[in-house]
Amino acid sequence: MIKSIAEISHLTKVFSLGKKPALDDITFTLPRGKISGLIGPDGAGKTTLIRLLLGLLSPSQGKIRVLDLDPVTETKDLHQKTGYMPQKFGLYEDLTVLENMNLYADLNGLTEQEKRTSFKQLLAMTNLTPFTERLAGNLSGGMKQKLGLVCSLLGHPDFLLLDEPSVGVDPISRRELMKLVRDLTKSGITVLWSTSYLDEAEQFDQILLLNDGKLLFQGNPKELTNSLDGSVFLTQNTHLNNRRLLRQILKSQKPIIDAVIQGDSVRVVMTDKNLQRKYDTFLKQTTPRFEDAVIKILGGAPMHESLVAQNISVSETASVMIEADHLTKRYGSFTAANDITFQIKRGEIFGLLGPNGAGKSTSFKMMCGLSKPTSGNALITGIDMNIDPTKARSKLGYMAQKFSLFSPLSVLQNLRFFAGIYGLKGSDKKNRIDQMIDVFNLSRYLGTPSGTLPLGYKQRLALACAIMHNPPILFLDEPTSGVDPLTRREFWNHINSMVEKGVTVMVTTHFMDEAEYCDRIALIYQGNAIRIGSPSQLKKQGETMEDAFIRLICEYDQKHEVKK
Amino acid sequence: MFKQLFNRLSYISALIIKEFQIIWSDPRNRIMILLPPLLQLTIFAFTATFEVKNISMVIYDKDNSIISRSLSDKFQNTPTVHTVYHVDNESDFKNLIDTQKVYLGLTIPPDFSRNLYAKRPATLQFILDGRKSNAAQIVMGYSTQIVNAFQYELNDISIPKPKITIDIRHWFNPNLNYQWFIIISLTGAIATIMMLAITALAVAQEKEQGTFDQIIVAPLSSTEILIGKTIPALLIALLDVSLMIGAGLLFFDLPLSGSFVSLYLSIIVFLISIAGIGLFISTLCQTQQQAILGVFAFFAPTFLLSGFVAPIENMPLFLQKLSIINPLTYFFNLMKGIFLKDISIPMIWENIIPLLIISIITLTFAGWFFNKRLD
Repeated sequence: MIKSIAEISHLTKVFSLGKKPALDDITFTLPRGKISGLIGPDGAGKTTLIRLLLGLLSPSQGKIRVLDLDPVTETKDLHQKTGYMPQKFGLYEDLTVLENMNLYADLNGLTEQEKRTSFKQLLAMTNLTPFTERLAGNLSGGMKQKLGLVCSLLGHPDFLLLDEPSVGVDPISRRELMKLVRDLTKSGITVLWSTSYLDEAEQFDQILLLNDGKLLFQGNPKELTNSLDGSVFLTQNTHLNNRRLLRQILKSQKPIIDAVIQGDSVRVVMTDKNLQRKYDTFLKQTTPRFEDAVIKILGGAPMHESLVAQNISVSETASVMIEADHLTKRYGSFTAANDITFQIKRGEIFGLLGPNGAGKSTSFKMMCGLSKPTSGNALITGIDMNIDPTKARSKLGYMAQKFSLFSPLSVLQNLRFFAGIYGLKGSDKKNRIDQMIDVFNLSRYLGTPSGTLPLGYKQRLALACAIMHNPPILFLDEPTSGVDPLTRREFWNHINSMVEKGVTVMVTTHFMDEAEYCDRIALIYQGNAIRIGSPSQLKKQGETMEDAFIRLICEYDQKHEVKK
Repeated sequence: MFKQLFNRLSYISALIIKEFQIIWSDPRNRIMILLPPLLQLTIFAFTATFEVKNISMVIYDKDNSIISRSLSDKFQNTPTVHTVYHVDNESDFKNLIDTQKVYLGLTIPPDFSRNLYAKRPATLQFILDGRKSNAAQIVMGYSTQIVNAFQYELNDISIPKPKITIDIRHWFNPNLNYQWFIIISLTGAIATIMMLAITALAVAQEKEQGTFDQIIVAPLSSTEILIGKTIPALLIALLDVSLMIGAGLLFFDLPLSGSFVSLYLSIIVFLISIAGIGLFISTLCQTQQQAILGVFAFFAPTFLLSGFVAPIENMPLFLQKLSIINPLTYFFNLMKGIFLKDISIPMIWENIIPLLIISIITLTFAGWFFNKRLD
């Protein structure tokens, strides 16, 4: 029996001559019965690598052996032994769960007998048994991913390849998915799992860190994390709020790898152990995280200050900028949002968190006028979104999920368009556009169609378009999904500097570490705002944000279970 | 007041510029705008005609007199008749029709000239190939004309004038030039499809890419968003219509009896009514696929009921009633009227007012649904 399931040596993939290789001289092995994590920013080459392993692409140079087969010449044999779940698994949304399973079972050539036994086993394993008659399109994000997993397991594969199975899936479903896959490895299945969630990667047996087509690290994530023992700290300052403190630390030129906001403290990663005594006695040592280590490998966080807020001035003086007043949304008999009330003060970052389908998006959409509440009011600087939508909307900047830009239009055309629909004219318009190009470093992409930009630049452009008209309020809908941790830090630097100038921000996110940037969070579950408070109020001693998230939801479930 | 209005115009112009930039950015889009009218016109120039030329026919002359032979010559010398077969028995006659060598068979009975001299009604038998019903009908028309002309000539010679003659004359299009009719209809069809495609598909595409949310969240009213979608589509459809009409005037001798102003006024009002329908379809659709199906669900019956494929008068009554809400019906009335007979101003209004009403209703519906669909 061979020990490794895949052996890759000096693998290079070039898509078009003269261009930078998508994968550059990569060598690694995948041990049998383990979960190997493929991590790295969007566009690092993760999907390309998975497709090469499956023989869906042929390598430009180097050798690939998977399950002792050559993926290019023995593709058919290989596919009988592998299960593949692409980023968007091909579930048929108009078929039921069972119909989808039947389809994939037939495609895998299962007999009726085999079908019966594997269906029963897989449905029980994934807790999907009660939902077999439900349309796949009506499943929640997490359940869809589970069904995708079930379908890719129908051929009894030895080797399972999962391409970002947890994108857009809430922490609870992500944990369940992880546990499921962990159980699979016990029966001898080998798994390759690509992800951009670093907290998830921490639990894998082996990590392959890709960046720009190069393999930067291969090894055990815990060892990597432990190598930073003693150089990670939390700090607070009674005179400065966390955002100002962070800005000072970033400016301070100290030997720092990374600094981020974590609730009411700032998390600092120093270049060396035991350096803190030299600088600051207020530093409190804390346990390192995998993300700290990844940032170190990637060369440290960007330390320059954001220029975006230079010319920002918020003339609104109202103390309450955003108000949800008993917002309720019903679709027939289903209540998507139930009596949601909160107030967001000037210069506050307010986060909406919650599992998929819990009402988070519905609430967000009602606040920015994309959806009309069944009852209750959404007020923007005191203006009712339903009574004077045009005026209310002129107060807000909106950055949509997946950075909805006009992909055929160039960067400059996009900037001009958004300036136009927010009523900027003449020299004012020209100045603001020039400023945005400057601040977000867009000058070398001005003529490039926005659809072909690297993801990080798409995000920058989307933010530029959203803030061009100097809005006192910013709505951000999962603004950093799929973006690498360095770009995410840069993004939050921009946001923080605007908030310091009095801009108010409302944000939804699935990244729990991002929730730490919020001053307050509303946890939305089953249509209700079950808790509203600061990150440190929500967390118990020693808990991560994700722990707190899961605990609060379980507590809510228990309480309501008892009532019933 | 005016300053505020002027202010809003800059918002709308941003929407319009964006729409043109998107269309222009993709070379395929540029082709899609110019190709349909050019392609239609080229194909049309070679093929599409209801005229029948180069007819082959067979004559079985049982009479074989001077008169009957001169009638045969009459057919022989008609420019549209290409070949005349002469046969002397029934089976050859039948065979030529059966094998589709000829469209038309003429049997001259043995008593043909005798009856004429005796001033009795004389009969001729025409056999037409019913498998080509359309062409047969047209050929029959020609034959009637030839026979009538023959009768006049007979009068000049020796035979008294027959009591009844049929004299068909086509007004407004005296030479029965079907090309004109087809150009006008094709123009209507292309304008409708372009307009629907740009309005319905463009919105659906924006919904798919999520950019529509961006526009909704911007400080624009739904009326402004609708105007921003209508005007680019209107201008592009106008370009196509002008291309078609221009080609018709230049290459196909299409007459323009009425005025240019009334022509373009009619076209613009018609296009706006279609824009309302396209935008209405777009509010119901989330994807481009749905939008395409929606466009066809609307276009096919509308075109069939417009009078182009079959005369409205031949339809069952309830379908005839439906044509009062069909914008294409009014458009064809206006186009044929303005091009071919210079219809009076009141008659123009008679057709433009229903189009205006349809526009107002569809645009209002589009705007209303647009707001309602926001949930």
